[in-house]
This record gives sequence, structure tokens and C-alpha cells, in this order.
Amino acid sequence: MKIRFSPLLSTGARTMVPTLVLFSLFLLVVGHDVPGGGFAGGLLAATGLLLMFLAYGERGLHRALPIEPEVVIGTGLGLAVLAGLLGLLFEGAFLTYAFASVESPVIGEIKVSTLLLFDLGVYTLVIGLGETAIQRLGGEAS
Amino acid sequence: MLLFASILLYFLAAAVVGLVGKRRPALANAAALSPFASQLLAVAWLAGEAGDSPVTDIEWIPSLGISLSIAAGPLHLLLTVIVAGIGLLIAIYSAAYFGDPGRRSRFLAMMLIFSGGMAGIVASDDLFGLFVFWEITTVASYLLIGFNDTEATARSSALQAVLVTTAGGLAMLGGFVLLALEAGTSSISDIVAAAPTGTVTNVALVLVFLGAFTKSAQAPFHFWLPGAMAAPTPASAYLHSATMVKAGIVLLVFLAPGFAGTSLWTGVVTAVGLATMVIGAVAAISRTDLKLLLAHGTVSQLGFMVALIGLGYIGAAVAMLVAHALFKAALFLIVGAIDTATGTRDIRTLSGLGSRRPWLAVAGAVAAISMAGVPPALGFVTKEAALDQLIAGDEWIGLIVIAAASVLTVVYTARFWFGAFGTKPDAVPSEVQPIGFGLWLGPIVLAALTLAFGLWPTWLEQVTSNAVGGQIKLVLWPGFKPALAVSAAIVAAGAGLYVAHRDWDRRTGGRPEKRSLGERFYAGTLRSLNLAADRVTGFVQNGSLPTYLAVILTAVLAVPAAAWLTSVRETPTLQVTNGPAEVLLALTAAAGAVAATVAQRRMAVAILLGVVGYAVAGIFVVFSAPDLALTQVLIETLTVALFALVLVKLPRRFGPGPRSISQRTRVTIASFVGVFVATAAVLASTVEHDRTIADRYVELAPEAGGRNVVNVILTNFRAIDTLGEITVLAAAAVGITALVRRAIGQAGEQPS
Repeated sequence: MKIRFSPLLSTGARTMVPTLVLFSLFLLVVGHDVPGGGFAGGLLAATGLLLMFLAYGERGLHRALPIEPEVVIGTGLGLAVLAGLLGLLFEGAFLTYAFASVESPVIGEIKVSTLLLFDLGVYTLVIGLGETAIQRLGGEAS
Repeated sequence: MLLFASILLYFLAAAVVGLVGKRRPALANAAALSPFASQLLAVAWLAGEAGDSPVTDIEWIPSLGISLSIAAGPLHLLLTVIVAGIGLLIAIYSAAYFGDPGRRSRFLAMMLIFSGGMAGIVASDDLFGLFVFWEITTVASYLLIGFNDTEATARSSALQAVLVTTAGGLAMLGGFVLLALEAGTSSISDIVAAAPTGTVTNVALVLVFLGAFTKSAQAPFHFWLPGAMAAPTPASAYLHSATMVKAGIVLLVFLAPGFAGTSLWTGVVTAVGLATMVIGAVAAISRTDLKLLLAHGTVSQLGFMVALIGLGYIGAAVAMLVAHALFKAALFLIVGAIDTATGTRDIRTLSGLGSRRPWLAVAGAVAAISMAGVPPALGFVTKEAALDQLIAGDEWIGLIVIAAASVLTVVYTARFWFGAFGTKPDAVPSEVQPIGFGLWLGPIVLAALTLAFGLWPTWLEQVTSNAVGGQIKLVLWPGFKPALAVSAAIVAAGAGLYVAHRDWDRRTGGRPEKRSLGERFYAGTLRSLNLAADRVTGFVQNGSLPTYLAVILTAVLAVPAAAWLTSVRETPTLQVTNGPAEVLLALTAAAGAVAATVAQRRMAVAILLGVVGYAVAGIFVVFSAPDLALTQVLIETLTVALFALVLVKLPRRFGPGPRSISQRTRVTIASFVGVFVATAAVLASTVEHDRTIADRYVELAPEAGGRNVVNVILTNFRAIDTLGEITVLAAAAVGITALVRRAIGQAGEQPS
């Protein structure tokens, strides 16, 4: 049986998903100063994946994120632990962070830190969890 | 520091070999050999250096006073040379033994991890540091014994070895803790310098003995060692001759200066050692598999060393340890070469190998006479030293038992050599494949060392005396002394018994292997444990989700609710509302919740629960908690959509269905839980907070990297909590994968 996806949904997804992902990255980066952060950002990106899945099925999910969820989750956890270990190495204790700020012409001050690396780990892991849930719970349904 | 670095190098090399082994075999081989070679160089340098403080402390848990102390005393260096030297030969041997680069690099990586652990044990001067290295060897030995992971026997043998040694290790950890508390320090040299006494110390020692005895395969725990022969031969040659099984001996040698001579030490250690020596030797004389024969022989020899330690003859025990490491590693490697060349290691089928591979037979003969205690091999020299001390110390019981077991040692040695290399009248000569240089080198070098140290024992005598801090005599020709007569009598009786036993063996066809008491106990325990686990799981996990929920929710009511009801004394003052927006949101949430309980369609319920969630998010906004609100909205969106994905597979409406719990019970439980949670929420909001921590968080946030306190708490102040939580999320993902796959497998056909 050929599955038909709603054209409304697929057109909407095409424009919305990039925006969602971009906004999720924004949430990740600004999280330290205004509401947001890795967890919320990851959830938003996972919502984007879900939208892709609803609009285009498993192919859409795979095209949006062509990496197996196990790998995504592992990477996320790895990044968070790495951030902790970097702290152990350079700051003397697990999960302490190193900060630096870079002055750039257009954007202004950019803060770089291993704290962002930790949050990136959370972000990645949450996306992987979302991908798992969509793949497993949505499998063979569409 | 140098020694510590050389230990770390093993783990580094293991990582390199594991990563590049498949693609760059040559590089992997070099990386695998380098830590052994560099450690030998490090020892050579350290031995020349007369440092005044040989102990390096690397702080590990300073709050508990625990550090990884690496000591470079004479004893530590001697043992390190054995670990690294034999390790080097066996690494070369393994490189030739495993043809496939994938298997080879996997083996070498595991062996390097093991060697790092072993090198750590023999150089440790801190109980807890030693324990860590000890357990590294346990885990690595599990991987090595179970290396042929497609064979069920290899897996069960590995499990048996790891369960027995871990159980012992756990007891030992308890003993270490008690010992460290009693002595006020965890430094081994400090403990033995001022050894504590008393009941607690005795309990601690017995626990430590359990660890040492399980690791060194002492009766009644010895059964795991013959089982571990499922390991590839290079692993057996390393683990079961020179290293892992010596760990227990090493620990006893470390502790002996403080505790040897106490009645507990002498009684327990000597008795266990002597019993093991006899049990191992009796089992070894009737084995037909060369490797199994050596395994039982190892059990016996380990018993010998333990008995010597029990009687306080530490120097003799250390000399025996060196001799045994040399000849037993050589013998194991020879068995591996025979196995590779002929495809069998069964005494009954091997024939005529001696004339085809004379050099292998000669190396085997040298190692064998060392095992039997025949001059001029090192084994004779060390055994003579041991016998001499036993006679001088009037240890008649020990002497008689050791002599009797030594007679059996001569028997199984003869059986080994003639079985491997002899020509049997009734067997066809074995087909022999050529074997490479790598398989030659180890046996030849080890046999040559056995012979050289036997002929010129002065150097070893000096090193051993230094190591144990006392004089030990190692001489090839002791003169006509009682010990020499005992040695001669042992060899003569052994030779006679061998001839008699061989004929008996030929008539009866050998004895079948019987399971020892310890092994039967192990098997029985494991079986009952599995059975009990099955029963408990079957009862608790009956597969009904309503039952699980009912149990969980009842527990929520029973424990926290009961605690609250008994502890709340005064009625709290409630602020009813913060404005019209809150009232509106609360009413929406309530309406959604009530509607959800009466809705008939599943999808409707999912959406109504979403309504409740969004309303709660709104309340968070009212209470100016934007982070919570944001997360709540996102979560609700995701869950409602995910619900939709699942619900399309289920019937649209709730059906009557099979019910394990009646409707009335469910309503009752649900109502109580609802009332309790609501009350709890109200009460929680009225409790007076101590704002010290909260204020401090706000104050420190900019310094910790941000202005958003919530996020800074999550990623910085309580980052370890967050790390734990995302680990839980990862586990949840694994759970989803496993459960859904299982459900699909069980349902077979999906309802449309």
C-alpha cells in the first residue's frame, strides 16, 4: 500500500523544521543567560524530527538525521563526560569549566566555554532519545 | 614515578593496539611489545639507582587518605621483572600464535590491560591501590579466559573464574578496610612495620586470606583454574603460571613481615597450602590433556608456595615463585606449540614428537626437570632451599606432606614429558606441522634461564635475599645434607611410582575427571540463585501494567503519605490566589483532568492531558519561571504527538478488555493518590524556605558562567546531578528499544 502524506503537512514541515532546528540551537547557546539551555533546545530539535516523521515518514526522519540513535545518545553522553574530564584536566576538578570570550566585529562578544560543551552533550543526548522514541513508537505505523 | 609511568604505558598501549590493531598489525605488534620492554628498562635503571625513598604517592582520594602508592623496593622490582619479562616473551609468542590480525590485536589489547593491572599489584604499597589493580586483572582475566567467546565452555569457565575471584576480592576489600582502620593507615609498609593485633585484625586477615586463596587457586576454591584452561594457551601461560595466580602469593608475601608467625597465620595459611598441594598433585597425575595436567600441577605448586609462606619461609617461597614462573610458562608455551603443530594435546594420541622436534623436547625436558626438582635446574635449587629450611625448622608434618606431594609431582612431570614427546607403541606417530620462530623463542629462552639460574644461582640468591630482607641460601651443590637425601628419595620414589602408575593407567584407561567439593558447591549455588531469581521475577513481574501501576501508587500512598500525616502538626496558612490568570489556568487544568477521566476515546484522553500540561505551563509563567514553562510546553508537545503515534495502533475507544484489577479498586487508588499529590503540592508551597542557598546561587551565577540561574544550577552547581539524569535518559532510550522490539516480537501480528 502506498502511504500518502498530507501535502499541507509536508510543505509546512519543509519551512518549519529548519527554523525549529535553528531556534533550538539558539536556545542551546543563549541558555546560560536567558531561558533555554541544552535540554529545552534538544526537546525542540526532537520536535522538529517528529514533524519530519509525521510529514515524510521514516525516510524523512532518516534524511533529517541520518545517524542511528544509539550513536547520537552515545555521542551526547560522551561529550558531557568529556566536558567534565576537561575540567578535571585543566581546572583541577571534574565538571568545572574553562571560559574564554572572543570579541568579534558583527556579533559582538562571543562566550566560549567547556560549559557549552556539557550543554551540547545534553542537547545531543535529548535529540537521540527523541529519535529513539519516534523510531520505536512510530515504527510500522505511518 | 618512573615505575608508575611504566605501568600506565600498558594501558596506553592497550588503547593503541585496540584502535589500530586490525589495520596496522605491525604497528600494533610494536605497541604491544613496547610497555614490557620499557618496564624492563625502567627496572634496570631503578635497580642501579640507590634512591632513598622508593615510594611514589599519587594522591587519589585525599579525603580518605587513599593514594596509589607505587613502590620500587627490591621485592617490587623482582616481581616486576617477572611480570614484564615473561610478559614480553608471551607477547612475542602471541603475535605468532594468532594468525588473524583482528583476533591478535583483541588478545594483545586485553593482555596489556591485564599486564598493567598485574604490574600495578606487584608494585603497590597501598592496600586500596593494590585492590584497584587486583580487580583490573580480574576483569581482564575474564575477557582472556572467555576469549573464544563463541564456545559455551569458554564463557562458562570465564564466568566461573570471575565469580570465584570477585567473591574473594570482595571479602578481601572488607579485610583491607578493617585492616586499614585498625592500623590507622592503608600503606602496606606502614602496616607491617607496626602490625595491629586483636580480634578485628584476625577477622580482617581471614577476609584477606579469602581474596588471596581464591586468586591463587587454593583449595577449596582451586577448581576455577583447571576450568580456565578454556583460555587460549598464551593467556594460560601468562595468567596461570607467572602472574594472576601469583597475585595471592604476592599479597601474602607483602603482609608476611607483619603477620607471619601469629598462630592464625601459621595455622590457616599452612594448612590450606599443604592441602592444596596434595589435592592438585593427585588430580594432575591422572590427566590426559597436557594443559589440564599443567593446570592441576600449578594448583599443587601454588599450594607449596602458600605452605612455605604459612610456615614463615618467605625467601624460599619467593625463590619458588621465580622458578615456577619460569618453568611453568615454558611448559604452557610448549603445549601451545605442540597444539599448533599437531592439533592435539592429548597424551593418548601424541606420539613420536620427541624425535621430530628435538629442540622443543629439550626445552621441555629442562622445564620439566625444574618442575620435578631435579638438578641442575632452578627448580631443584629452590626446592632444596625449601626442604633445607623445613628440616632446620623441625617442621616434620610440613616436610612429610610436601615430600609426599613432591613424589606425585615427579610422577605427573614424567607423565607430562613422556606423554608429550615419547613414542607410544600403540599410537600412530603424530602429524607435525612446522612452527614459526615466535613459538620457539619463548620456550627456549625460559628453559635457558631455568638452566642458567640453576647452574649459577648466586645472582638470584642475592636478589631474593635483598627482596625479603633476610638471607636465603640458593646453591646447586649443597653438600651431603639431609635435604639432599630427601630430594633424592623423592625423585627415586616418583620414578618408581611413575612406572607402576603408567601400567595401571594403560590397563584402566585413566580416571575420569571428578568434580571437587568446591566446584559442586559453586554449581549448586549458581543453580539455586538462578532458580530463585526466576521465581521472584515470575511473581513480581507478571506482565500486567495495571498491577505494576497499582503497586507503585499504593507504595506512594503507604510510605510518604503516612509519613506526612503523622508529621504535619499545624495547619499552614494558604494564600488562595495570585490573580485572575492563575484562577483561569487552574480551572482549565482541572477541567482537562476531569474530562480525561470520563472520555471514551484514547486520542481524546491524550489531548486532554496535553491541555492539563499546557495549563500548568501557564501557571509556571504566572510564577515567573520561564525556563520551567518552556520545558513544560516542549515536553507536552512531544508527548502528545508521541501518544498519537502509539494510539493509532490501538483501538480508538477503551474496550472492556481483561482486567486484573477491578474498576472500583482503580478509582479508589487513583482518587487517593490524586488527593495526596494535590495536598502535598499545596503544603510544599507554604513551607518556609531557608533562602541562604538560593541567594548564594543567584550571587554566584555570573561568576559561574551565566545570568540564567536555573541553567547555571543545572550545568554547573549541580552538574553531576545533570550528568546522572542524562545517563538515566540514555538508559531509558535503551529501555524503549528493548521493550518495543520485544513487544513486536511477542505480538507477532500488529493490530491495524
